[in-house]
Amino acid sequence: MTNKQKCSQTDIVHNVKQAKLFLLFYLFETWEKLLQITAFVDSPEHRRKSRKQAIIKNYESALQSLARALESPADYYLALQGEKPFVYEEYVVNVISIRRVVHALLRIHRQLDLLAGEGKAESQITYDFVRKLTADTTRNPDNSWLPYVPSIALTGEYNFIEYDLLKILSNELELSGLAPLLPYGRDIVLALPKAEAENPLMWAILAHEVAHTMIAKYNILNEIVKRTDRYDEMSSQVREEYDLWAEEICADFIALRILGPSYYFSFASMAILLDPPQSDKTTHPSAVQRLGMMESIIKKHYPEWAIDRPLDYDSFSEESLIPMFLDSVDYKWALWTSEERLKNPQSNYFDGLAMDHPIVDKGLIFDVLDFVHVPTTYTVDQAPLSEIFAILSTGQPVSSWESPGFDKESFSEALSKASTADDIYRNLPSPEVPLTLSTILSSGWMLKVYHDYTELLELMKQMDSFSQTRESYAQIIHRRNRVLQTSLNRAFMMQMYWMWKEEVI
Amino acid sequence: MELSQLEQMVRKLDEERKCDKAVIMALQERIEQQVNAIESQSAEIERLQRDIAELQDKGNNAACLGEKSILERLLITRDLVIHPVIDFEKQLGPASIDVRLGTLFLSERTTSLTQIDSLASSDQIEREMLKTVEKYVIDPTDAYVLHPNDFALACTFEYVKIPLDLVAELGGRSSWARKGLLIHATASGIAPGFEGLITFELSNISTLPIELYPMLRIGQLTFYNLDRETALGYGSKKLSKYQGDLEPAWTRLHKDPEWWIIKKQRELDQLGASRRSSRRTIAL
Repeated sequence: MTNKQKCSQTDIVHNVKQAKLFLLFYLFETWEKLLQITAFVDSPEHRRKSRKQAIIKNYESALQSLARALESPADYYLALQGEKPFVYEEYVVNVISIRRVVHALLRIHRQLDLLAGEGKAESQITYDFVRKLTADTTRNPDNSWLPYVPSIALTGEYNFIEYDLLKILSNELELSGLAPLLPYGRDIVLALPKAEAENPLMWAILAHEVAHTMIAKYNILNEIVKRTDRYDEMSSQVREEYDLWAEEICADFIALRILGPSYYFSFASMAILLDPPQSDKTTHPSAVQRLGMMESIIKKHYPEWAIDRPLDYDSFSEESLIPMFLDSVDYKWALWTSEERLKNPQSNYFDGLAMDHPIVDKGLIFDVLDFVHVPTTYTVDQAPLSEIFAILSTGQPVSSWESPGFDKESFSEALSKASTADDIYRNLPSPEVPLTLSTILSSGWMLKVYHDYTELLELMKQMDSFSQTRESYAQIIHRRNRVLQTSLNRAFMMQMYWMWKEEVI
Repeated sequence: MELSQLEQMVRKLDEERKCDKAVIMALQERIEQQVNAIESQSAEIERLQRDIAELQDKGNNAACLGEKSILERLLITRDLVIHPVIDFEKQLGPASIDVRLGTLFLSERTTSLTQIDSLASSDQIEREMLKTVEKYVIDPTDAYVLHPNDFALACTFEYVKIPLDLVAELGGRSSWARKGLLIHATASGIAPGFEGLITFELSNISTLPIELYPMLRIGQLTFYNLDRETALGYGSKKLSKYQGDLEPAWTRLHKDPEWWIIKKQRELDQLGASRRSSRRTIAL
């Protein structure tokens, strides 16, 4: 069913299952965002600076009020889980309450400069993530498309900023002789929202930003344009939008290729909180369109295409998690467009957005990416996602998996027979294979949706006080972030260790 | 013999037979009981013999785990977790496994405070610690330089989980000891049931600075069997303050209940002193 067909209110009322799913994601994602911002405001680094106490107090009380505003939708969600009948008007009232909280949260997020406006560099952990991201994307380190690891700026949004230092300087000073002195000339900065600085699950969005650097490096956009029928016949306005959209879609596909479904989940999580654009002039395709395209890519092409495809990916992601996210974002879109139609029945803008993009129809980007041959990772792991998810659920970080071919029984037998040092060394298992970003983050998403959400639901049912629930869930999120950070850090270090060791040998 | 006499005799004999039958039945019952008792006693004896054998076995094994047992626990039964072991060939010893240095270090910033009052409230102590403790995340190619007489906390690269029937001991490696590096300040025991990253209490007792890079093998773990599995693993005992740590943690000594008792006692003493002094004032 397309969005266009779903726009009638009757359909929305009837699709109760989808409505509940959307409410679950919307409520829980809002809650997580609130707790991430609270943790950022409450971080030791900020608390240590006594001169910022007034700002911190203001933020704290604003965040507390927003948390209280989520109480009623949470109760409503629990009631819907029980016997309470679904009444469309009540449902909308609760969705709108969450929406207000989201708007306020996003505004607070953009204003966090007041706390972190001192030009602080990114943490080593996020820097290592981007380093591993660029390493995972490069099969051969000598053939890297980027001669350096991009810097990360903590801001209020995800972005990719390219500075041409030479151009900046020459505009001011006419320093034409400076070019040979600048080793790279251009500097690439990836922007990461401040409150997500500790949350590895949302760092996956950086893969999309890194992809922009690849598009520029390999001139991918030119290749797309070359292959587009009747591109020259388009008006300059349409052409401009086509270029922008093509680059964004292409960046999504590259990000999927680097990170697999974890990029999809991060994007969907972000899309759930953002409202659809309110104007018909956009630089990006709509979130629901992008997710739809990504889903089709994952379904049709992921098995052959992906860098590392966890063994039991089909049973875990394709059949449950991806449709769950897509359904909820889709439902949100239908809800919003229905509202917009009521406000402005003449507009046909929302119909237009529901159409599929020609780039996807023609499979143009696949051809172009095959032509350019986007570099792939140099480690391919075959770790079972469900087992990694099970270990992460116990609170233990996981950074590597047993080498392929390790057999417990034959190892046990060999060990019992070993009588000399040579026997022991000969029978030692091969080194474990460091996990790729894709595997760690995909398991992390399983952890969040299948484990943490269940815990949150239980907390909501058991606890008397909302603040108690909030605190307990904040601890769960904090632990998850730490476990994933440690896993990523260890996997990266292992990768470096083996790479350096091979170089030395 | 008359018929009546015969009848009497038959009746008497019948009664005797009945009595004998009852006695026989009682005896049979007793025999059955005895047989049951013997059976249960022999089962008990068997069980006790098994227990004795097990205890003797454990007693014999209550020594340090050798390399085969370590490998068995890590890779076959998997109840002992050291994750990740990057290179077994380098890390495995005859009775130990080397552990590496992680990337996080904590050191004291002495310019902020003269002391931390252990009797202050938990909140206050934690606030003061934020001012005093400096956190460093070290790049794999950067060194943390530990100067002579310097002290810092770091942690293992590996996540460790000790099963309930083992106790572990952290020790330094001889090569590092020869450079003057101490990796723990007398707290080397790792309790059964502990899981998390193990904290190193690093200090340099030599006269030259020591460069420490992440991933270096600076310590080793040895394991000992307990005589029997403990029911009081580190995670389940009250006041386990460092369970599940994923980074070096500064002391949580202030969470010990003894401080609260001392604090209360001191408050009472001060109250008594002020009463005494107010009485003295009145007397004056």
